[in-house]
Amino acid sequence: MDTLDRDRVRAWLVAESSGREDAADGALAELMAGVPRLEPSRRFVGAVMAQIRESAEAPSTVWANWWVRGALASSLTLLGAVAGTASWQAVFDAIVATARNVGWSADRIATGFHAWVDVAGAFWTAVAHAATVLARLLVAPGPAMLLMFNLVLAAGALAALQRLLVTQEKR
Amino acid sequence: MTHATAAPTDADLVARALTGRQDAFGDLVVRHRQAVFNLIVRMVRDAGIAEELAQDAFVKAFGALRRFDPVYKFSSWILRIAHNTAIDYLRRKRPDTVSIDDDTPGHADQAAVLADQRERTPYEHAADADLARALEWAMAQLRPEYRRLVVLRYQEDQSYEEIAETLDLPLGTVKSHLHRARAEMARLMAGTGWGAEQAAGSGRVQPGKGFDT
Repeated sequence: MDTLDRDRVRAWLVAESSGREDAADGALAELMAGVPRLEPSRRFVGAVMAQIRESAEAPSTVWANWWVRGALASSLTLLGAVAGTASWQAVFDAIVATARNVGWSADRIATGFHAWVDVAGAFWTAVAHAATVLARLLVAPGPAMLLMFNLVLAAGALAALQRLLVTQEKR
Repeated sequence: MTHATAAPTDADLVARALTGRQDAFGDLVVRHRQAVFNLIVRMVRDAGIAEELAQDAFVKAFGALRRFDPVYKFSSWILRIAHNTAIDYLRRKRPDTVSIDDDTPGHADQAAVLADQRERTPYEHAADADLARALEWAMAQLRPEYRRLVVLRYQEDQSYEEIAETLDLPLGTVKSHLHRARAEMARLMAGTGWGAEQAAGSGRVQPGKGFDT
């Protein structure tokens, strides 16, 4: 046991036991300077860069964007909410109406350039149809409550997902 | 006449890496690999796993480079990623497991060092009279949450504020935990005989007494 080392340790222990925070901190810092930091192997840097090259070459998927995943999650939840509260007949009507309008719109696009005005009109008609279905649902308190619950659930799911993504991004 | 070229700062290298120059990121890896590996290996206590986790940490950092705010130090940022990577691993696995079977060149020695810290008694360490090894041993006995603080403070020379930022802890917690970590290390060192003369002069410092907080 080296005498000099022993003196240095003793100085630290005395500072520590007498509550001299800064002196103890400095003394331990000095002692710890002699403790080697452990090193990775020599191939470490090459391995990291190889992984980075691999990941750069891999095609990035649309799922890599948090907003795509968030939008999908909320859309699915909303769709579930509507499907869960609406009567099958109403859903069927809405689908038929939408399909008819989409088909009609597609036909108009194919028919000629001037159809764009009609397409816009058809789109808003489809939206109006959907709004009508929703409005019918909201008139009845039971389904409306259920719909509200589902919307809150969707918002909660989105918030949780975003929180998870933020945590992941921090890493 | 020669002109000394100033080494690019971490922020410069990040900026270059963001323009698609992977070699700039390679320089950052070279610069920070030891700090990252040292922190992780002290936390997971397995050189092979630590190397994999350190690689993961750098790959994650590269993927998140656009989110790096140059206002902060790159070293703090990468150590934070390294710390979180190690924490994730420890949550999945039983903590403080040491693999001494890894015969990868370079790892065998480190595995032996880590295993040695576990198996030797304080008195054996006192007998081998090596201060660095005694401190290594004392550090290895600390709770993982204290050990990481000791590594950042006394091996990476981070300030309390930087540690708080790296570990995402309140400054007060960093200070109190470091105080306790130091007290615990002092108690362990005194118990091995390193504080014998100090004990004779100012009252015997016994394991478990004198440095408790």
